[in-house]
Amino acid sequence: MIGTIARHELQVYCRSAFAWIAAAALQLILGWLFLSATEQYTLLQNSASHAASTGLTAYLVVHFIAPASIIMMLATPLLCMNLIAAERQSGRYLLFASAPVTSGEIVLGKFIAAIAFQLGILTFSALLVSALYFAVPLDLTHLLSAYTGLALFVALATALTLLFSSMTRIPALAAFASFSCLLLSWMGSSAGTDMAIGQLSPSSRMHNFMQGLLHTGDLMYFVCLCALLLIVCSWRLGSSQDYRGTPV
Amino acid sequence: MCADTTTALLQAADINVNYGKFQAINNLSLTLNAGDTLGLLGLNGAGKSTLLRVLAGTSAPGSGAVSINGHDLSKQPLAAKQNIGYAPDKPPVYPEFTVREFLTFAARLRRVAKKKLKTSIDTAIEKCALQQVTDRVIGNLSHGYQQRINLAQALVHEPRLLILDEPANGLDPAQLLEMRSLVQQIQSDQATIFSSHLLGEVQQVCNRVMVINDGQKLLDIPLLELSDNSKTTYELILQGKANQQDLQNLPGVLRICTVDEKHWLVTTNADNSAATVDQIGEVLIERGLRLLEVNPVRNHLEKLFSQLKLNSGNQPVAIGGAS
Repeated sequence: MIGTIARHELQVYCRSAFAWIAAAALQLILGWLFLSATEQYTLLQNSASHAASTGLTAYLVVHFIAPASIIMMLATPLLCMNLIAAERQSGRYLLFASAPVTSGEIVLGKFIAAIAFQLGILTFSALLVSALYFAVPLDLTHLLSAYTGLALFVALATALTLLFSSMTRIPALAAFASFSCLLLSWMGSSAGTDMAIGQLSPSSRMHNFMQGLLHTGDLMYFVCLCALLLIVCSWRLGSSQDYRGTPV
Repeated sequence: MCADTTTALLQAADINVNYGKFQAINNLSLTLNAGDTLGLLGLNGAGKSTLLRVLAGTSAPGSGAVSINGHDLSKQPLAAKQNIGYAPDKPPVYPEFTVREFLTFAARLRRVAKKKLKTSIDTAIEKCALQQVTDRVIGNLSHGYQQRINLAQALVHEPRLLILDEPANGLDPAQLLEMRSLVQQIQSDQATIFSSHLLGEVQQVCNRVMVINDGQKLLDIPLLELSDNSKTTYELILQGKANQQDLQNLPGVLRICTVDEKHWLVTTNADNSAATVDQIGEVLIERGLRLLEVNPVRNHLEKLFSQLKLNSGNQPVAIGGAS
């Protein structure tokens, strides 16, 4: 059933003009970011300054993959805001609510579809980097670690947006709430990892991934937080059906 | 009306729904058996859609229990929902999908087995006369077709209980006729609830009618009873207000229903009805109620509905047939 819902949601994405425009805009921004990073690296190498001693992989991670997470912080809420809120607004959610499916299956199906669509976009950005592989040596492990961090961050942002999407019928409100939370956590990470808010911030948890270090603690942080958000989202959807005053 | 509870497809007992302080459904009970086509009548805001949502399992009641084909909706929701086909008032369709794609998704969502998937979809398409538009994008189809698709998605898994929330909404006369014949074709081993605010629509499609107002059940009778000459219905107009208990156990009275505290409809045996009316008057006086008028009513469903219309002020209500 999760597969049925996920496949359906992917079809909805693929037939949505908004999703295609957002995907194209993201490719444009990421492409520009990539070109700008490689150009800057070339200039630094030519100027023979100390920065040139930095490897291309590390430079790309800092100047391309890490900023991509900030772009996804805005893009993910926009791409996922419709998942439940718009369904409830249009009355289409009644199709799910009256069917023999659990709220957990609905949430997981929608989550998987949203992740798959966004990972598709990120895969294209990874192709840009991999195009360099034949010309210059790249640290593939470091790149893989950085992309894993980025994918986990996108998964977390998706779960958060899904939760807000289940709490309102207004998609823009869900996107705004999710973006605000992600922005606050990012600002928290800039406060330093010594502070509690810095420890809890997903942005600070991505630092190790961006340095090419796979820490089990960081991995568990993302997995557990995603699971928690999805469980709360399922509970929220279930309780809106077992309502005491709030119809679906 | 006294349904055999062991074979009931739908049993709803003491349903209450509150939106904050507003009581949308007030202690409503309902039983449906195979072959029943119940017309749920009421003015706009009477609680029809709320009741249907509770019965479809998309909303749970504040109190009360709903059982579908022997499965409690709150304890075994998946088994119960497997037996429900629900068509909401606004078709829950995806405009960017073709009819077949949408029905395939609806069938998969209702857990139709892979082997039966194509047959089930083809049957639903045939039943709802959608053959000519199967590969058309839903968003390009008329409202009438979208209502048919709505009905097809509710029928695709061959449910035992079909819940249709105002399926005639927004249809032109020709589409109304088609929708009516579609509902009439539904098999006899199924039960159907059909909500409407069109009295004529219900009288033509259903074999049982239930009238609700302000979330309360006013009347629940087989339609055959309306044309039954062995019973006579009177409209009683009282000077003061009365409640249900004041009119309990009246002599010769088979059924009472109310529009408001002063207007009551009582159904008696036709035999010796004049004597019965006299007896009713005497009993009411004994109970401290003064009878202003007694009028025989030919069609008490129509009378009840027209009285509801009067009470609702300027709210538009259609009483006659829609075709």
